[in-house]
Parts: sequence; C-alpha cells; structure tokens
Amino acid sequence: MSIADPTTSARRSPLTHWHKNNRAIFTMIGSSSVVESYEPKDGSIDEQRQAKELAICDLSTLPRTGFKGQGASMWLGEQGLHLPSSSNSAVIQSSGSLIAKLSDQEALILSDIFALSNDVGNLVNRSTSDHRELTQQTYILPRGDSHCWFTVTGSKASEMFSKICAVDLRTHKFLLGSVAQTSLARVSSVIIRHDFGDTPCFYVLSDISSAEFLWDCLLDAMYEYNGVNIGINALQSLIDKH
Amino acid sequence: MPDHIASSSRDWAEYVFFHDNNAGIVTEWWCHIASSFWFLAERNTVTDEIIRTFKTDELFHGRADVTDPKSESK
Amino acid sequence: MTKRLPHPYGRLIDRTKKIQFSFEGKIVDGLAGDTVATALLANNEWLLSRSFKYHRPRGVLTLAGQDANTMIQLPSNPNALADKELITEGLEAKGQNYSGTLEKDRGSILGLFSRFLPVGFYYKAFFRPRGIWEKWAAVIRKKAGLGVIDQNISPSYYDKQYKFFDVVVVGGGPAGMQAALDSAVDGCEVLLIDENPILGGSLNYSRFDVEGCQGQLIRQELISAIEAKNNISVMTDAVCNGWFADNWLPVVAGNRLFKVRAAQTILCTGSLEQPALFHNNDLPGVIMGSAAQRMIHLYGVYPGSAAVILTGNNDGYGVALDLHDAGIAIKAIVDLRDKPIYDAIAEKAIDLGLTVKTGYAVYAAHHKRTRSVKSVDIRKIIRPGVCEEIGDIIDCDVVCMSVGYAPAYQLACQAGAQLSYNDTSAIFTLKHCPSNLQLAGSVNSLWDLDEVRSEASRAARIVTKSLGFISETEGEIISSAKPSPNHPWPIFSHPKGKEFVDFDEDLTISDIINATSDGYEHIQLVKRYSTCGMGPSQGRHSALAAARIVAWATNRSVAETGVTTARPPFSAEKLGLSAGRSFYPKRLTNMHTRHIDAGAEMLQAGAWFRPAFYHQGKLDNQSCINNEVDNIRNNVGLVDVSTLGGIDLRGPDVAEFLERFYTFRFKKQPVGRARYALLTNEAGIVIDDGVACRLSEFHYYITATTGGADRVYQSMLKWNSQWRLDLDISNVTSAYCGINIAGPNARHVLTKLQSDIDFSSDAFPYMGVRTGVISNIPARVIRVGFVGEIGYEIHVPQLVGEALWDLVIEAGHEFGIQPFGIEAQRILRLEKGHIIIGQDTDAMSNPNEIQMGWAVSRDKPFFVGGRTISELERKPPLRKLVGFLIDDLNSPMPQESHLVLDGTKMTGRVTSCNYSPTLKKIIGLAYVPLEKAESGSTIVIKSSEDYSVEATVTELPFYDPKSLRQEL
Repeated sequence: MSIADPTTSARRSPLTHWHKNNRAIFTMIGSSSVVESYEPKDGSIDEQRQAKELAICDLSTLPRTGFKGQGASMWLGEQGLHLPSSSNSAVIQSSGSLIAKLSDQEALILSDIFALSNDVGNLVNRSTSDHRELTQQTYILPRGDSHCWFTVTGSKASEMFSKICAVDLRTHKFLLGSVAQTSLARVSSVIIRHDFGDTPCFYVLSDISSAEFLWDCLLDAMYEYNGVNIGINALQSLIDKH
Repeated sequence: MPDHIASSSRDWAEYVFFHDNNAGIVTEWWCHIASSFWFLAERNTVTDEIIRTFKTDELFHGRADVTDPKSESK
Repeated sequence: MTKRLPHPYGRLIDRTKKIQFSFEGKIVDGLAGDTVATALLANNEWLLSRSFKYHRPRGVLTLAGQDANTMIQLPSNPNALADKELITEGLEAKGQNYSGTLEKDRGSILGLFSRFLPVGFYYKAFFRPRGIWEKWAAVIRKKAGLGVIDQNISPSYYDKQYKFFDVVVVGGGPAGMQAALDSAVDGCEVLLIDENPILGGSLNYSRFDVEGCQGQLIRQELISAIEAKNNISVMTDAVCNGWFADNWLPVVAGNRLFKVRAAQTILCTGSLEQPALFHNNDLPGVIMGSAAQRMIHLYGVYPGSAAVILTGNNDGYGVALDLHDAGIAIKAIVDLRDKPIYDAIAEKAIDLGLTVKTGYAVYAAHHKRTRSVKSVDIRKIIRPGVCEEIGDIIDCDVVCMSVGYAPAYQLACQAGAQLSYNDTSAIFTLKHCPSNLQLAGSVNSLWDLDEVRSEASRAARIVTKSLGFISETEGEIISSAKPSPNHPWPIFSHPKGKEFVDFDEDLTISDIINATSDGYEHIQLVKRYSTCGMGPSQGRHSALAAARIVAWATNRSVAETGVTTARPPFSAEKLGLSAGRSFYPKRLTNMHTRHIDAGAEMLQAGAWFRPAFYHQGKLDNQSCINNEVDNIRNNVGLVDVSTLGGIDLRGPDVAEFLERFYTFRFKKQPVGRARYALLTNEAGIVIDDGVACRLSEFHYYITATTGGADRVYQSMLKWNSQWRLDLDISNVTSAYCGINIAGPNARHVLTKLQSDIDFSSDAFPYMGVRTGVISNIPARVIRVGFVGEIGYEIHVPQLVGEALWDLVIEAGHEFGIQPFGIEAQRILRLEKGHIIIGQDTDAMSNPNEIQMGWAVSRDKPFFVGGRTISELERKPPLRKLVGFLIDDLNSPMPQESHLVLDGTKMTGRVTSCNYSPTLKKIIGLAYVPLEKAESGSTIVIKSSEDYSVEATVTELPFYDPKSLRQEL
C-alpha cells in the first residue's frame, strides 16, 4: 500500500476534494492518482463486502479515449483492436481494455483498471496528426477529460439505478457488454455492463462538469440500500476471489 | 427550404415564419439529448402514434450544394 | 369502547392493539387497522365534515376513499380522507370548513338561503354595484376552501423509482387476481397493484352466494396461487394514478412515485357504486350498500341497529343478508323494481321473511334535529321519478343504497377508450382501448364472478399472446347472461329540493335542470357552468346522475348526452410526489474549489456555477467588484472561462461549414488566427456568438456563450445532417478548462511559466492562436480582447485546470495577481461596449440593430439567416442599440429593462447599465429609436416610479476608443 498525495499529479479528479474530506487514501496507478480505500470513520466498513452489495468507486483519472468518424472502426481494427459488431455493446480486448461501440462511427476505449496495458496511450500517440485524421477520417475525442468515470458494483446496483435512470438495468435485461446512452439524474451518461468476477458492475461515464452532482445523487440513491464509496483495492478483491 | 436566392420575399417570409400544422402523419425532427443524435420520425399528430423512426440519410443523400439549393422538407 | 362484531368480521383490524387519537378535540378509542372514519363509526360518531356550499353535516358515503364527505384536517395534511387515513397513537384530527365547531357550524345557515344561491350564481352576482366584488371576495375567501396548510411544516423526503414489467394489472379484485395469475406464464413478469391494504377487492366484502362464504374461499384460492408464482410482484396500498402514452403508469405508494412501464396493461379497476337521489340523501347514515358491507367485513363495525335497504337490483338483497347475519334489524328492503326477477340470494332474503316493498322508493330521509338519519319516508312509485302523495315513515339509523354502478373508467378514458351508455339495458361499455391495453371485470360491465374470471383469463391470453409468450387464441368475448344491476332512474324530485346530485359541490336536481334552462345543454357546459363533477371526487358519483337529468331535460338519451372525460390524477396526488426527488444538475469547473477557497460569491448561470466576485476582508460587495475592475485595468487578474462552450470542428469541409453556419467569412482565415463568430437563426435574429480559432487548415476550435453552447452544438449537427459536409463536429466544452489572464502585466506573468509558446506581441499578435505546452500541460492559447486589456485565454484539458490555476496564481504572486468574477467582467466589457448575447440582444435583435453589420458577410452564397437579413435591410432598422453616459453620479442608476421614454411614450429600453470605476461615470447600453441614435442625443430613462434621468448617447467603446490597449 503506497500513500500518495493526489495533488502531486496535475491530473485531478473533480472529486479529489470530496475524497480528501472523506479520508481517502490515494495511490498511484501508472501516472494516475486513484483512491485505494477510505479510512473508516467509526467501526469498520468492509469495503470488500460492500463492493458485492452496493458500492461506488471513482476512476476518473484512469486512461480512456474515444474515436469518431467514417474510418474510425477500420482504423481501430488496423491497430489490432477487436470491435463489437453491433452498436451499444462492448467487448473486452485480450489486453484487458474495454471497447464500447457507441454508434457505427464512434467508439470509446477504457483501459483495464489493474494491469494497465498501454492501449489508450498507444492509440493516442498513433492518432495525433492532421494528415492521418483527414485521410483516415478518424477523429480523436478527449474522453479522458470530457467524462468522469465511476464504477457501481453490487447486487443492489440495478435497483438503485432505477431511482435515477429510465433504462431497465436489471441484470437479466441489461446483459454483460450492454451499453446504454441515456440520462442519469438528468446528466447525459454512458452506462456499460462489465462485471467483476461474479459481481454485477456498471461503468458510468458522464459529463465531467456534473461529476460532483452525480456522485452526490448516486450516494443519495444508494443510501436506502446501505451503499458506500469504496477504493480500487475493493474492486481488485472482486476479481481476486474469482 | 425554398430557393434561398430566387424565391420571392413572400415565399421566403412564409418559409421562415409560417409552419404547417397538419392533422395526420407528419415527418418531424427529433434529437436524443443524451447522445445528441438527430433522427426523423413519422408521427400521427391526431393519435400521437409514432409510425416509424429513421436516420436522416434516408432523406438527405449527399453533400448539399448551396449555390444550387434543393428543396428540402423542413 | 363500543362493541365490535366478532371474528371473522374485521379482516383489517387487530383487536389486540388499542390506539387512542383525537377528533375535534375529543379522545377516541380505536384499534390498529382502523381508519379515522371506522374508529369514529365504532364509537357511533357519524359526523365527519360540513359540505362546501351549504355546510350540511356529512359522513361516510362509500368508505372506499372515493368520496369527499370524509375530508378531514390532519396537522400536516389538509384534505386527508378519513376512510383511508389509518389511526396512529396521539393523532390529532379535525373537521374542516366550519365556523364554530363541526357539531354546531354557524355556516349551516347558508342552507336557508339556497334560493338565492342558484346554479351559476357567481357568474351573475357580485357585479353591481361596482366595486362590491372586493368586499365579497374577502368574505368568500374566508368561507371557501377546505383544509388549512401548515406553513411551518418541514418537508419530507419524497422520491421516484422506475419499474419495468411485461404485464401490469391495475386492481386486485377477482378480475385482477385472475388476470395476473393467468398472465404469469413462464418468463412473463407481472405486476399486480391494488390501492387497499390487502388484495381481494369485492371478494373481501361482497356477497356472492347464499351462504356468504364463496367470496373468501375464492380469494384464498387466488391469493395462494399468486404467492406460489415467483414472477408476480404485488403492490398493495398503491394507486395507479393515471395512464400515459405507451403504458407509462404513475403508481403512488407512500412517499414514492413509481414510474411503471408496462408492455401490456390490464385494467381491472372495478366499478363505483352510485347513490340514489332523494330528499336529504346526503345525511350521515345514508350510505352505499357496499359501504355497509365494508364496515362489517373489513372493520367489524356495526353500521347501525335498524337498517333500510333501498335497492334497484339483487345486490341489495345481499347487503340485507349481510346485515341480517351480523344481527342488525332489517326494517325494510325498498325495491325500486315493480316486478323484480330474483336470484338465489334474493330468494333467501325473501325466505327469511324480511320485509320487502317492491315498486317503492325512499322519497325522503329525515333527521329529527340530530345530525344523522333517523327515519325514511317510503312511497309507491307511479312512474319513473314520481311517487304517490302519501307514504310510510320507517324509523331507522342507517339507509343502504344499492341502485347500480358506474365503471371506474378513468384510466381507460385516459388511454383513449370511449365510454358509452345503452339507455335500454342501462349498461356502460368502454370501446377503442389501445392495442396494448385490456379490460376485465366490472369496469367492463361484468358482475357474475365466473364470467369475470373467464374474461380476466381471456384478457391474460390476449396480452401474453401479444408478448409472444403463448400462441393459442384468446377465445370468444364473454357476454353476460345476467341482467344489469343498474337501475335506470333512481331519481326522485322533492318540493323541498336537497336531493343531491353532486355532494362535493352541493348541487341538487333543480340546479342541473336550471343549468339546461339557462341554455347550457351540452354536458361539458353543464359541468363547467354548474361545477358538477369538478370537486374532489371528480364526478365519481355525480356524472351518471347528471347525464340522466340533462338527457331528460333536453329530450335526449343518456347515450347522446354523454359523460365528461377523466384526466389524471385519479386520486389526489401530493405535490411532493411530483416534485421529489428532483434533479437539477450542477456544472462545476475544475477550479471550483479554488474559487471557494478564495472567497468567491458563486452565482448560477444556467447549470454552471461561476464566481460573481471574490470577497475581500470586510469590504462591501460593490467595492470588491470595483477593485477587481481596477486590478485588470492597471495590473493583472485571471478569470475562469471554462464554462464557455468549446466545439472542435475537423475535416476537409470545415471552412465551408462555418461559412454556411455563421455570418462571417472563414475560408481565407489564416491558420493561427482567431475571428469573431456571430450566429443568427433563419429569422436573422442573433442567437449566439464566439471566437473561431483556426488551429490548422482543417481544424477549428470555436467558443460559444455559456448558456448557448449545447444548443449551438445541436444546431450544428442538425444542419450538417442536411448539408452532409465532410467534417466531424464534437462538443468539447466539458473537456477543456479555461483561464483568461488579462491586464497590462498579463504577459509578464505568462512568460514566467515554462512554455514553448512565445507570448511576445510580435510573435503572438492580438487575435492570434497558438498551441503548445505550458509547464508540461498541453494548451490552446487565444489572444482576445473582451475586457479591453492585454489578454490571453488558455484552454487546457479539464482535469489539469486546477493545476494550471495554481501555476498562474503562483507566477503572478509578485505582481499581486487577483482572480476576478463575472460582475467585474461585465463592467470591463461594458466599458468596451461589447454586447452580451441574451442580455443586450432579445428575440428580435438582428445584426444591424446592434452595430454588428460589419460581422455579416455580403458575398457568401449562403448562410443561415442570410436571406432574411437581406430582406430586413431593405428598410431602415426600427431601433438601434447605443451606448449612453450619465454624468450625475447621484442619480438612481437605471437597471436592465428600464424604459427609455419620450414623454409618456415607450421608445426603448436599457439592456446593460453599471457604474464604471475606470471612467467614474454611469455607462450603459440601450435600444433607442433611430432618431435618437446619433452620438450626443439626449434620452430619458425612467429609473423608478418617481424618477427619470437624462443620459447622453455616446460612441462605443467608452474606454480606450481606439482599442489600443488590448493589442499591445
């Protein structure tokens, strides 16, 4: 366990101050400052157990990117990535990264949160040049900054979401790899089902300027089910036990 | 849109300020706010039934040239 | 504690748990499970309320939460229904709408003046003498209204939740339970909703067989079957309050509004028992037959000791048997039918020797100076609605009416079904339901239990087949073999009137007839003129009677007359349910915490939060703002501009797109330069503006106003889906943070930061654009002049905004750099005469009115709004936006929207006005007529009720007329 000051890195989640005020312990994953756990206030909150019932984690500083345009799918294929065939679905690459096809012309790439393949970094590097954009009609999107990234895990997640989202996210309807582009508490969001072990998990990507607002709404909606905020260590444990 | 160069003042003013209000099946523009995706829908304004939705490229086929304006449905 | 019927009566009460509460200040003993009404009834207290107009004493009518006679006041809840509200320990309940006490309401004197309060009197009275209305209004305001709002209440937590089902069944009576059961085939998710605490509906209180046990047996059978299925969810104490498009159903339960989406809906909402109309039919103690059965079976309460049953069907005999079994004396069964055809239940009543008078009516109820019924006057019927002159008096303390039902058609009508009535058979039908909605049970005019269950099964087969779960056909429609229980004319006029059609509005038979005499023959007009059906029970018990009376008075059939439709909500819905939990997204920039730490006073611009100004010690607000202005003019400051929109446009056709979309020209704009971008709509009205930065030949980065960015982006996408130009349009507003650093020392601060960008004036002229890195942070930098000093706008990725802010503050520390907020920025830009879209422009502002003609290109083939602007230019503009100065600093400062006057004529208005600390004058922008637009003209601005101030029209900009400072 390493303790890091989140302000030593220039890239800061909009929730950094909230995390600090709630006794977060930070760590570095690659060059990203992420909460690894929160010091319990009184007694102990078992973040690992919570993660299986209902918990939220902030991954906003971890690498992600997006590409748009007529040639985006083909270009990504040429980079060795495997895209889902239909829109609004996601597949995991062998490297562990996740690719979500948001439309025929748009894809979102999220790095795996533990092993940190350098997929995102490599794509960003290879894509930067006008010439390439024009000839390949592939335009990069600043997804690392335009959206925040939360995970919501646990058996109660679907029911909690139904308080703030009009899409049916029950696990037997919103299957693994499903993607919804919709509104959460009136904030435009992308929701991706990507389980950790056998624990249901939802990636939530929303407009970053409303990150604090949405975080509050999610915690409020989670309150009824005793949901809590957790750090990345607890997410790790969901896979380890599997 | 009528011919923006050659149409009469009256025709142009009617295009800008008058809207048809048809009872029956109309084609209208819709935008999915969460993804900013524009699409078209056929809807029966009397029964409020949505007949079908479809992508804009069904009506708008290729690069539009404004020096040779085509009439398009509004 | 008065006596209750023994077990198994009283299905909803728990005899082991006593609860004490108070009503009208008196302590009342009840049991857990009692409602306020039933606990009072158990103590033989019938008086619950005073009617709206005449303040007549009222009590229970339906005991089903469907009438408004039971409206009471709770501490935190005006207009609670006593027959729904469960008692709790210490609850303080009171009556409403009385002067004095509920018992002795002085308002009841109004009943004596009913002759002077005819239907529609308020449309005719209170006009003369002139001015009399104000006096009457005060009196009426005191008398009108029912409950009282507790202004000190602290709000509870209300929220909402979505639910998704294949089939939703509304109503948990026999039809609903059967429909739910048969819909729950494998894989089909079913929801069954009922507004009562338990499932069962009429099975819980109605009599379906001679012995009176079949109801409970069937109920148990159905409930066990439902519980055995794991794909049926049940919600009790839940009301489906409306039907909206595509089976979107709001279901209210407690403090939560469930937004239920059903693929298929089956409405089993049942039917509402209807009252008979006779003199004093509103007395406490005159109740529906089903109300008496509810009292007995659900609450174990004695309806009275001596009952008269007024019936027009065989159900009334079931009521009589129920009362008889409970030990209540049946003084008479008064059967409106001359030659009734009995069923087995009626035969049993006859066999028991109960007194039956066929072809008779209850002509009047009497109260003999008490508040509740004490006797009835029954008379032989000569012809429909007319009785003999003489009758018999029967002493009784409860009168049960069983004359027919109207379907609970509300949800079906909201779904588009049409309600029709057959005068001959006295049967309602609902036709033209949408294809994903079925009806079953008494809402569909079936009353026989076997027929109801068969129809419910059929409805279930229809919906499960639609959903693809089964393939069998549904079978034939069930048509009933039984006669209708609806008596065609249970209406008896009385010379003394008071035969109530609408209990809520105190409307009697003559009121309805007089409405038609006044010329209002259409049922919709009768409703609005008389207010019939507009009270809390929304026509549940008045619509049918009113339609019958109007039909009779206008020589039409009821079918031709019709009933008015129903709109949501079905039952009263607290505002908290609609309002909570609301979501008003807040948008914050990455620098938000730094603003708070620096003492910012935040203000909301749309969803964004921006600093208005920063507090400085104990200085008053205006001084803080003026200091910020001074700091920019003389030193250096920084402002967070992250909220301004940012759109990336990339591709071969990018310049062509901009030329069509904005008013200006862009094709020849050099790379590394910025240009003003003005946006008009097709009507030529200015709707947004920004700066277009050419980062490369095929890459533009455009800013927009904070409030307009999302709309501009959507508009771009809509136009390009028609033009289909080859470019990508991406809204990157949230992806970038921005800082504008401005002031004579701005460059000095920037050059202290490590950057590969040369900030010097030669290398980076005014309106230049550069990309590079600042302290390892990738940045887009624009030299703009919104505030009129040397200024650099630095755009960096959102997540590093705070880090950049810290760097700039640190670098600027030696110069005394200070952040500034929107208020200072508005003054600074006003000193430069720069307009703010939406403040200095309105829905009619075209570019020529606001001195923006220079930004409109005359030699482009097309741009949005172009043709219209050409049309507008054929005449001179009607007004002009000009700058004005006020020298006299003592005059009250004009505000936005204050009028420019010529004598008493309005000729324009102020759009911006501020004290300028730089110029030490009051400056502003205003629309003035053309003849006043010349520099030097004097205009008069009305700045308060009593005060007008003179101002001088001035050339813009006010400060640095040649705009040299921003280009240094």
